[in-house]
Amino acid sequence: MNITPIQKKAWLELKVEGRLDASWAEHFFSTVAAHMREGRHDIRVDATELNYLSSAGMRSLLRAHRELAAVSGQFAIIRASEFVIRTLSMSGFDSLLKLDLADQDDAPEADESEDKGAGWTSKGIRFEKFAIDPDARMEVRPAGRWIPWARLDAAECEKIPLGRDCIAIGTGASAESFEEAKDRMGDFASAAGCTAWLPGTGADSPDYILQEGRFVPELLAANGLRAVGGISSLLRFSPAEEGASLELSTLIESAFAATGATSVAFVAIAEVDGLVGVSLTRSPGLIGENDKPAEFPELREWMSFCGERVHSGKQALLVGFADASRSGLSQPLLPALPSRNGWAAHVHAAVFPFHPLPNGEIYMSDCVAQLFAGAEPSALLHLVEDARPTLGLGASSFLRGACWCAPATFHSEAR
Amino acid sequence: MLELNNVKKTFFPGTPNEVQALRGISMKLEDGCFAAIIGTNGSGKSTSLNAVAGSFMVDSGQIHLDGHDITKWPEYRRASLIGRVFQNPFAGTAAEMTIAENIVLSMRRGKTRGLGLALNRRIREEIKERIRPLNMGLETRIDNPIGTLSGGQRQALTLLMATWLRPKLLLLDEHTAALDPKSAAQVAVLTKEIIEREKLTALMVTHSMQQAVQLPHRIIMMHKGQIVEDIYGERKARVKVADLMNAFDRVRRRDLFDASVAEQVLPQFA
Repeated sequence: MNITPIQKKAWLELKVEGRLDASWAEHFFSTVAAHMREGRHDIRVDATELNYLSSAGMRSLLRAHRELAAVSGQFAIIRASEFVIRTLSMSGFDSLLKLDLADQDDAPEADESEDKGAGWTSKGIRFEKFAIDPDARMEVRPAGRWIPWARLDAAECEKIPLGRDCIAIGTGASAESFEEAKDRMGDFASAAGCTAWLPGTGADSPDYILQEGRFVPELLAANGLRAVGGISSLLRFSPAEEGASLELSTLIESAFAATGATSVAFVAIAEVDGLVGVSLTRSPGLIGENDKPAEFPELREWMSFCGERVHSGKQALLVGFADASRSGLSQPLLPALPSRNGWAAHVHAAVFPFHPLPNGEIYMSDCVAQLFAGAEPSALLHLVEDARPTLGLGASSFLRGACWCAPATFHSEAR
Repeated sequence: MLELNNVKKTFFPGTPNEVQALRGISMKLEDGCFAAIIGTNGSGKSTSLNAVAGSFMVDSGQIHLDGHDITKWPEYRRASLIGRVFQNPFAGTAAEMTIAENIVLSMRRGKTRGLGLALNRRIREEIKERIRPLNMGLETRIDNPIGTLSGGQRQALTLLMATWLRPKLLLLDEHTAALDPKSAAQVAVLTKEIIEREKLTALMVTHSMQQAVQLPHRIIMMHKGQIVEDIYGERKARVKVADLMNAFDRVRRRDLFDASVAEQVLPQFA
């Protein structure tokens, strides 16, 4: 089977030649999925040269249709032969696949209904900004008072609700009491009522808790930042040049630019180019009197380093706070960002299998909920930059995605 | 029961080729426990097996087997308690001797041998009975030289010979690694069957994550001469190949986490 992509102005045409049977069905679907990953959500299959269609082939067409429908995309078969039309009609797939018998060359060149934001290109990345609520902002307060790597006391922990109205990151555990939590505290990230946390038990993959009905998840936080408020802007980004990727600091810079603020809170869902980060492998609640977790090599008993750029091709949910205002208030929980003088940032990333986002203006709560409704998160990292000469892994970077952000006001005490 | 207590071994000490092969390993295998040792090349898994078998004397630490302190026992003396199967299917048998002759040797392992006939009709029948369940048709070929058999057949027989006298401990050193995939699977199944039927205590070195997950009750992971993971009980019941790969990945990441990384990341961890 030959699949030739032809980029039209408003859609992508895939000219399919040969047999779409069990041997080629997966290849066909993978090709469609790869184009979806690149943001092409209107895909039409030119079936002029498609000379055989088995049930496996029909299933792959159906799969492509469903995947595109899930991101509000379009999938159609054009210029189908009599054989293909008959096969699809007799199988009852014609209605599902929006079998389009007309030649589509005269179709309008662009979909006028699609939301278009104000756009710009920077460092090979195309940005689009959508204003959501220009007056919205986030009030950020600390949660818990643990200072790494001191011994953790029950009195320093704070139970925090993680409902749909807030975003949060930090170190904590889903538990009723300190006794229950102290041997399992780990990094967490929460947005839109969905919280992923990596138990500090050496677990490989995060656990997660979701807001359901009247149930609002709570975490006992040793420390963290929790923000309540609204989103002011949505940034969409994708590579404008082949090989271009967006470093975390550039994403933060774009959030500063989009909000016009020097302190921001943000949530992003992005395809990962590579992540660099650490995670707690042992709960800070277990730090004993004679332990020195901040000293090497003992640090390795408490923290894991990714060792290489990881999770390429997956989807990350980023929850973060950044500050370029040099405000003293925010410093304890906002460590300096090595690559940017005077900037501070604290970002956690929960990693999921890749699933494309719809194009245009999209809603954070829907997208985050959809992420958690799919396959489970496979990792959770506290992102860091590794600026070591030669050996350094650099900074986390991303290919395409969406970033919802708002100006942030950092408060020194919990309300 | 097998018990290793802080066993250390350094090869070529004080030379540029010095290798700290075992850095104080301790483990206790209860009677009837079947454990697999996994690890990267040079992790010390085969060295651990050889230390137990007595292929060399350890530098320090103790090894107890079936209530005996065997630390200072020579290899031949330990053979009365231990059955072994090696990676090379041609290593545990005498190629020129027949199947029956090889087996009768193993039947008398650790026992006094006289000048009487080793093989008689009763023993031949017993041998046939014991090798029939292998389902390899070997019971009709017991007078054939063992060297005429395939690697898989020979390894199956070696396994049977090693367990003929129900040893206190069975050591399996990557015993399926040199076989073709089909024979390897057959011998793996046979291994599990024999160990379970005879309720043997066994220690198996393997590179196959699939075998480590499917065959034993317990998985011991070694790295640089130390035990870094010991998976048993309910953890073993749910462990998957991906979990073992993750465990290897953790070990690898830990090696990459050096002082220069610590210097970079500590200030960024608030």
